[in-house]
Amino acid sequence: MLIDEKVTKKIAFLARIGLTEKEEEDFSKDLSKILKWMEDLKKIDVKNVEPLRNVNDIELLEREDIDFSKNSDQSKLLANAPKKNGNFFTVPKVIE
Amino acid sequence: MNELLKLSLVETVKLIKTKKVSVKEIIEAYINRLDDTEKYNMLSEKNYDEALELANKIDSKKQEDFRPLEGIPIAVKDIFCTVGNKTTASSKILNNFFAPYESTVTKNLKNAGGIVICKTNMDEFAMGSASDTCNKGEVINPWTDDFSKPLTPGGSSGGSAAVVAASGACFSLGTDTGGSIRQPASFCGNVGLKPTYGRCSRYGIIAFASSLDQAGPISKTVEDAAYALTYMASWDKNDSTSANVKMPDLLKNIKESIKGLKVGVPKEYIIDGMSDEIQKLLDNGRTWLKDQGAEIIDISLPHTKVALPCYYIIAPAEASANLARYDGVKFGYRAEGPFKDLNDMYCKTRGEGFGKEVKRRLLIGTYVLSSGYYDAYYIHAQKVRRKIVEDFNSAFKDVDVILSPTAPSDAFVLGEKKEDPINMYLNDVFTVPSSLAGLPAISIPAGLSKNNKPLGLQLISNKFTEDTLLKTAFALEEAASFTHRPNLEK
Amino acid sequence: MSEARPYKISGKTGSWEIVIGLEVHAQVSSKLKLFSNGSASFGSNENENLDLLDIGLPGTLPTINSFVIDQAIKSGLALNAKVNNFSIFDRKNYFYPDLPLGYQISQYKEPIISDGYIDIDINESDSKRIRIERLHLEQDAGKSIHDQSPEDSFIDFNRAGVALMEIVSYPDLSDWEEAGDYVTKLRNILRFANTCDGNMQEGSLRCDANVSVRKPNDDLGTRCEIKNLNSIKNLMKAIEFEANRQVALLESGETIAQETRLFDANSGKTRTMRSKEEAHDYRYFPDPDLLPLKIQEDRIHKISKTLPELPAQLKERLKSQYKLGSYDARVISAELETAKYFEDLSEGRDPKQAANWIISNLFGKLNGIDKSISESPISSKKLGKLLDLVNDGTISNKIAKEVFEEMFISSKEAKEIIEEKGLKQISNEDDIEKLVDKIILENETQVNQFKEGNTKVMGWFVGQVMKLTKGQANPGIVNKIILKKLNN
Repeated sequence: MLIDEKVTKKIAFLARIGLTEKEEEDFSKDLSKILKWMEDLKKIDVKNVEPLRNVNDIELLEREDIDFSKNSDQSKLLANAPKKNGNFFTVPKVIE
Repeated sequence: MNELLKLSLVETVKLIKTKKVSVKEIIEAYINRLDDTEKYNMLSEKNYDEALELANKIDSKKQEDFRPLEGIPIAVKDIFCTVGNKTTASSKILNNFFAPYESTVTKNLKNAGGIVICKTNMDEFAMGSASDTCNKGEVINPWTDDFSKPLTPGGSSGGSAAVVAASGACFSLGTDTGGSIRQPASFCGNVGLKPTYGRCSRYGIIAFASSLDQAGPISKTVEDAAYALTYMASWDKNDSTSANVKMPDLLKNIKESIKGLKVGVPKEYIIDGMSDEIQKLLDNGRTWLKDQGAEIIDISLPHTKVALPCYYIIAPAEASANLARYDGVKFGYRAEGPFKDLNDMYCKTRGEGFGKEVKRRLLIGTYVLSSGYYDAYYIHAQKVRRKIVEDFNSAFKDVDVILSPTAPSDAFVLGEKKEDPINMYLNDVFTVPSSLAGLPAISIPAGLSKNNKPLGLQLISNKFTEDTLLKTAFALEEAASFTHRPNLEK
Repeated sequence: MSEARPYKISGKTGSWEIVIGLEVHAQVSSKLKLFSNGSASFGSNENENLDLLDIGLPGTLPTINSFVIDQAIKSGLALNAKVNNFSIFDRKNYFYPDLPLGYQISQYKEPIISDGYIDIDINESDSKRIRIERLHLEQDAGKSIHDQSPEDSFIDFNRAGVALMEIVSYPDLSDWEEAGDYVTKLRNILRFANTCDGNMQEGSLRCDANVSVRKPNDDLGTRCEIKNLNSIKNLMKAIEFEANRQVALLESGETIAQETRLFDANSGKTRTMRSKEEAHDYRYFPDPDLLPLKIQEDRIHKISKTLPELPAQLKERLKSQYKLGSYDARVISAELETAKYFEDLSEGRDPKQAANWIISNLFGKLNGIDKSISESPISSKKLGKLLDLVNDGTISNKIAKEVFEEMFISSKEAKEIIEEKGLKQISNEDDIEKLVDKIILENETQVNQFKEGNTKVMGWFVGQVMKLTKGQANPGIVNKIILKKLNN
């Protein structure tokens, strides 16, 4: 098995996804299978091949640096907040 | 069935213009239809009140002020941000999200007179091929005969495909990342068009995999698809990847003869274990196009076989970053506290908010980007992706269009492949390569399986040549003359 | 170029060499953010400067600010660096409440600018070249506020997405003074180029320092990174503390753990923030929402033409145009505001006198109250008027210093103070003659001493006149009259 539960746990924490023990077990199996299935890819010779960046070779469009116009309705930006205080979003206290 | 519901988009546009039928009548007919077909669980939001209000307004307008899509009811996949409705991407993590802005594609359609009649269920964050990962339950294919074994409409745009199959809207919007428009269109007997990457703005579409996501229409006919795309597409300064390439007139030459057109059939698309009926479907396609004067050429796309694993590295990698914003801070779901610390809040929120398939893909994506694996997986996949692009580039030196099946099977029973992710991923085997290359592709209903379920043929053309693609599709549609509709009186 | 300064730390086991590399985050001066139409300005109400992207709303996409690119190019040119024709924006993935997208858009492998340098002055005649590895563009994060409630942290996304230039030096710095000089100079260059306001209080310029120590000619030691140093003073203190901490550990036989540390300005110490094991796995990959940034040569050329005078050029000009000495030129060119103050002050006046007044008088007073020249209570215009009064003989240099002191406190005009206090110089020869006559008449002893050849007594007479006039008599005229009278 390519991925054991320890690895799954580590990856899940990197992705900040809480998993139950059952999920850890299941995903370890799934991920191992999927990664094994991907092994075929490694057989492809890609020597001197540049990784693809974008399918279309177009120019990056640039935006003008104009005067700021305030969002007409600030309340809309905070309307979906799970928790807020006044015009602040709030989260459980961060200690560093 | 109300006769109005049998009309195509283009026919409905013409009818509305004559003012012989009011838009209100049309909208009401579609609302009734959607009410009658609730058992298929196609809708995430009903937008009936606004639709009727708009219909009344249009009916009081002068004929000469009518815009190209005036009064046309459209079903919108719940991945497009629309003002006034919830937009959830069928995920618990966005369970109550109201976007304060409109996606460019829906804005374009609304500006052309279109009416959003409903939003449709989908695989959560467009990750799936069966519309069975939606937090509001599975979508059922209207072609289902036996409700003890309901069929999948395909995915991820399953709700949008099902609505068109059930005649619940003139056309619908889907998004296609690795086949999410074409495969459900094939399963539901519709036309499904994925335009060239960059044709439709991604602004306001909830991102799954940025380098692959592309919006497109699902419709009853090829001409409808051409008509709808004409008013969806735009060069958008809000999307850096949107292309400033003039759209050819998609309707002007659509009915022209395809005499002399070169159609390639890649040998790699004939895969192990492909059923006889799919092989037969493909043979029919060859014959139909040949009979109309096209030249059929056997071609090779050598890296087809690795396109799927390549896709399942790149798409999840991009998704792992795109979905990082769902952290319970700014919008959407936050788990119930108290929390040990901030990470506890993140882990609980995302652990509870995302469904199984999304989690699985986020884990894959995180893994392939993580330190020590990035080069072996992600960079390697992007190199293989270039090889796939080069395959197509050299093929298009010899041919104008490529023909293949859309999916390896007809609609399967819901739940059948749920526990076997790889088997589920194989659904996308014919659709993923063109997605990786950013090419336009279309699925056309072309026959029935032995179970009497629709099967689609896929056409792929070169970048920004939707006109050639649609012209060929039109010829194929004519020849196939697929007129079957699902029987909804079950 | 010359040898670096001598080693700063000599421990029990001999000298230690310090190796320092700096990462400076400089906020780009622009109206809007790097990838959104949110405002880049400082000091608005919370969550008021926002565009949709700044809170990461689903479906929003980044589009790049053209002016910010120009600013980065300009900064690169000012730092003698190479502007890359091709650069890439990457996503740097990590979770933090004030990071709205769950990743920061930054440049990892292919930055917009590479290979520059700054020459810092080691002493009057020598400088040392500090190489700059790269300058890249990235988004700032928002702000977490922890002191508003006992349970919650408050999040303000105003700064989220504001354009930053991260400027990374090679580990060419050898002590905290060099580090301080380097940041001062870097800040100065960016301010001259008008690409960053350099306001450290508002966080427009912040530093991270990578510090390690080694015995001379040994391999590089294990480094620690000190995060978020928000003033040059703190930067220097933090490096000094950290280098000494590392030396003490090594000399007592312990090893250095590679880690990220924080500096506590109150205690003057650094402490562990996270260890190497806890280090982030940022999973950088190219942002698929953006395309490669391609910069054509003619754009670089155009911008190079708009590049204003930089400190080094200014210094040379001060020497040639104003004939300032090397020391004066260096001090005057060290800050944009000083240079401006000087040029205003020397307009129509003696440049040497202007430089002297700024360096010896104004800076002394300003240092005393810990203020910068832009906060000076005496404007260049006011100081100019004071100098004019000296130059036209209204007051003496000595009185001028008194008036200056008073001006510094009250911000009043020199003229006003002179009138109020009756400090005007007495230059009327008749008045002075009367005084001198009186003194000669009353002090026969001193007169005789002079006549016997004791010319030193001359000074005594001048002193008497000054005493009677409270120092307001014009010394030149006083001298002239005393000599004339005594020789009679």
